[in-house]
Amino acid sequence: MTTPFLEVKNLNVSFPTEDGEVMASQDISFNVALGETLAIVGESGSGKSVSNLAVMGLHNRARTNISGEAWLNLASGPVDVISAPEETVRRLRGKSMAMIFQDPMSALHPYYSIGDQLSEAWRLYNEGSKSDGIKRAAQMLDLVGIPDAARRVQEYPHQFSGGMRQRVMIAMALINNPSLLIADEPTTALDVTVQSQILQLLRDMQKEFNMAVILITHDLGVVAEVADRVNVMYAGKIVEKAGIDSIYYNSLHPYTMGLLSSIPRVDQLGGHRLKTIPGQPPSLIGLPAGCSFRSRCEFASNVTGNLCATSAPLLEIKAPEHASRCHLSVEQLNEFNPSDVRGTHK
Amino acid sequence: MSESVLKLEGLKKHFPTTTGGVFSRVKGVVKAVDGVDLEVARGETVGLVGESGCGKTTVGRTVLKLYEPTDGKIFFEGEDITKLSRHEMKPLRSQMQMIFQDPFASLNPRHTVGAIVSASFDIHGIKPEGGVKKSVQDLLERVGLNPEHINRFPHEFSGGQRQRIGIARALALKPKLIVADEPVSALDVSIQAQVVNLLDDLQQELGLAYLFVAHDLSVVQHISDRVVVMYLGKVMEMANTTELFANPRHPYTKALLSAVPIPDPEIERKRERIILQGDLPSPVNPPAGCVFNTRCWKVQDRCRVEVPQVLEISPKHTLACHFPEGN
Amino acid sequence: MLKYVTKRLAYTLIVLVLVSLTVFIIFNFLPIDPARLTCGKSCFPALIEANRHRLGLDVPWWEQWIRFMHGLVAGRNYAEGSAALHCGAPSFGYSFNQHSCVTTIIGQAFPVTFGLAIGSFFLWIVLGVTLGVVAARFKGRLADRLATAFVLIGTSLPTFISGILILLFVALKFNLLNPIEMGMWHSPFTDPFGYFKEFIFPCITLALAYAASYTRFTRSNVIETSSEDFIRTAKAKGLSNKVILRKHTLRAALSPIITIAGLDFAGLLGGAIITEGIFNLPGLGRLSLKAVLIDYDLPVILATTLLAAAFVVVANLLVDIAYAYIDPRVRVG
Repeated sequence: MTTPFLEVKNLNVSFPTEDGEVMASQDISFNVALGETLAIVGESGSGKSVSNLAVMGLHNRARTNISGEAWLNLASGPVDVISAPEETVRRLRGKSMAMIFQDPMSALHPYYSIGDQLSEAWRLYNEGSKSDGIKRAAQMLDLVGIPDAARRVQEYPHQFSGGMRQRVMIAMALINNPSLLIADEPTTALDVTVQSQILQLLRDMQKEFNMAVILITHDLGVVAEVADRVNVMYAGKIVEKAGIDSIYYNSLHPYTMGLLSSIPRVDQLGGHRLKTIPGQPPSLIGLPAGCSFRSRCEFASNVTGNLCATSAPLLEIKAPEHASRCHLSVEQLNEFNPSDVRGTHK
Repeated sequence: MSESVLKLEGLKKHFPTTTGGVFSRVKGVVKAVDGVDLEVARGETVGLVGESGCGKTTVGRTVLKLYEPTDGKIFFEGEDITKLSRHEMKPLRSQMQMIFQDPFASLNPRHTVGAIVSASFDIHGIKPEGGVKKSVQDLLERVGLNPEHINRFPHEFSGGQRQRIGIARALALKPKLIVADEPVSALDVSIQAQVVNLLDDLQQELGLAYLFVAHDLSVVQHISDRVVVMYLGKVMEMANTTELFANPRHPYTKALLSAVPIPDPEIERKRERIILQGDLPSPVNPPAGCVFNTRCWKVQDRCRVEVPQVLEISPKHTLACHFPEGN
Repeated sequence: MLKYVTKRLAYTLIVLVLVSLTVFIIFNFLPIDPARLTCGKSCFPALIEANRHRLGLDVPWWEQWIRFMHGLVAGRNYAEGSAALHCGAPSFGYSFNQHSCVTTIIGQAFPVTFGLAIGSFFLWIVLGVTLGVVAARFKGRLADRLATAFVLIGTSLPTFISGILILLFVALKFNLLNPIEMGMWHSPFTDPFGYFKEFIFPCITLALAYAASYTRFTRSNVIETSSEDFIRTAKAKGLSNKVILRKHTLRAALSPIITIAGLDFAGLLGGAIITEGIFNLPGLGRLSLKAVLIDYDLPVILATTLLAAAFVVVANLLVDIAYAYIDPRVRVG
């Protein structure tokens, strides 16, 4: 096993508000190695973006409480981006770690040409004139599959389609050859045929640049398509963490199981009732003691005593390379896993 | 075969684009919907799918005459409603309702749930049996909300619950047809399933017909009896759901299906994808011949000049393609 | 871009013609006979009719309009023979009250108003934008609260109060302004200090009122822009906060200010009636006021009205062109 490029340890992010402290992300630990894709899956409000924005240092430090560590293992030695001074983290952004966002329509500055925006990113870390920057920008646009790149660098964001803008964002993120790319719902705003183009591009770019990629998404189909490992998040915490196949075929958490059986699949006939997870996620202000998922969990009654209500389960290793935050035993979880009814597991 | 609730014949909706300014001139037209034939039977769900700009939402709105159709005919329960005025439409409106995509924007934040759901009674001057309050509470219960929450405001509910309020509102006048425009795409995965099941249950109980407009093929496949695939204002293919998903004949349908990710890593690793090149052309200036020819991997010269006719290739399976995929 | 400018220029000309027509129609229906006003107490019917003819008021309004437009371009002659008068192009008419071409009258008043407008414009833009940016940058902190207090005072204090306060308790109290010299023309070229002394207080008065609303506008625009996705992108690139503010936030946040500033400036060029009144400045504002209230000097009223409208229309054109230069979406669309 290679040393991971990013090691996040016990990261907590919370936002003080008038109604109380929003515990957006708690006790987050994970690693990503170069060349590997980690997917972080969860519904809105699960905290899947928040912890990664903290790694990038994109939260307003004055209005956010962040604790824990996030180490980038750079060639020059490891740096903890949580405790490092703001200026140090800034100089890693766009160079060692880069990020792309959900809505490519609003993520580019409407007043500057594409070439200007890419060249600005390049010149931040490279010696060169503006025309060198524009040349480099055209190369990058060509690399991400934008036809007629040399001419299109002069154009403005509104002259590009949604898919093309996401390509521009990817080109801009990769222009300084970063080792870590965080993609936050990169295809959610795109049409499905464009989505598969962009996912393909991300895979190609990962090979080309040998990057560690973190893919944040709510779409379990996209995860199945691109991820090597998966973190499932619920109510601010990682509830399950494993390799891609273990998550889909041998899930050890009731929430993951519920999610997988509640989505209709294009390769399976409808007509049956979808399985649902009753209720809705809890508010992140004043989370009750115990397991956050227990009110929606169909297996909570199988736990002896009142453990689910009184004590918060820890994220523990339940099988090789497979951790789950649940009081149930592995045997119980295996028994409850409905994956055999889905008929496609190994 | 039961009779049709809704029938469209050659429906067209064109929007003029203007130059803007004081002396605004018409520059061209966006052919948002350009000749759509479609039928929805009683108790049936017809899924209308396609990517952004394909005209699926415009079809839904034109059916309800929120837009005036440019050409073609709309029949509701056998009656031609194409030319009906606003006033003449009013009695029919109670029988055709709409559910919207955004559960946050489609409910008036200053009205209570009770007021929102009962508004249709007032508009149509209907006095429901057992009184308005009782009816509203019944409706709330039917869509899985607590009837005691009748005096709460929309912001006190979650996204999924708000979509249920929208559904209760649509159901108030016992409609025969509901046009659902992306009703679950703004919802989280676990909530989506709840709403999909609710729509299923209501159809069973009330014999509703749905025109289900959505971009998510997995959901459409799950909920629809028949599916219509649209591209740039035109119907590419239409068939029973089973038939269409098992045996897509139009290259676009095939590409669309192959692009939908399947939540199963084993399948994903083995899958062959058809990745379409480029983007959707602008509907202001659609390609000549077959509108899909700029992105089709099977394109031949004929496709660039001749518009393919919509043909019934097997019972209830229609197709507009010169070179369809084999069986 | 050139096509866009040409098109906008053509529109502007059409609008100007329409404005002048409208003004002519309105004046035609006023219940005042301008010929009757030419001779005051010494009027008798024959004189009125003679003056009506001399001023060209005996033809239908549309012909008057055509003559006026022609005069604007080519100058105009009034009356014949020994009483003949000539007003050179651009002729805005002839004022019987002041026995002078309107263009000459306006030519004296306009530099005063222009000086006032440009001075206060400069002051309020610098003050308003700076305060707004500082307030946005330190949102919720002391600087922001002070700026908010300034906005509150500035917007709630009308110029006829703030002007008088400044005049009485600053300018006169500390002998910075000589009340006898007030309203006398100091050329900025031969007597720059006198010019400055004359204009600084009215400029401050006007600027205070405008700066307050510009502070509020800038503050809210900068705050709103700061939460845009493209600002987050800029941060993710690794740009420093300073560069993000200067290059990314301000460019997007300040461009709407151009529209408002252009129109406000144009509005001021038509005359700042109250401020000119308080400081006894013989600008366009006072000229119009006097023409309306005291002299019923219709040619002057007509000219100042047309000018004020023309300034706004032309400013609109300039703002649109500036906007097309800044925002590429306008340029292409």
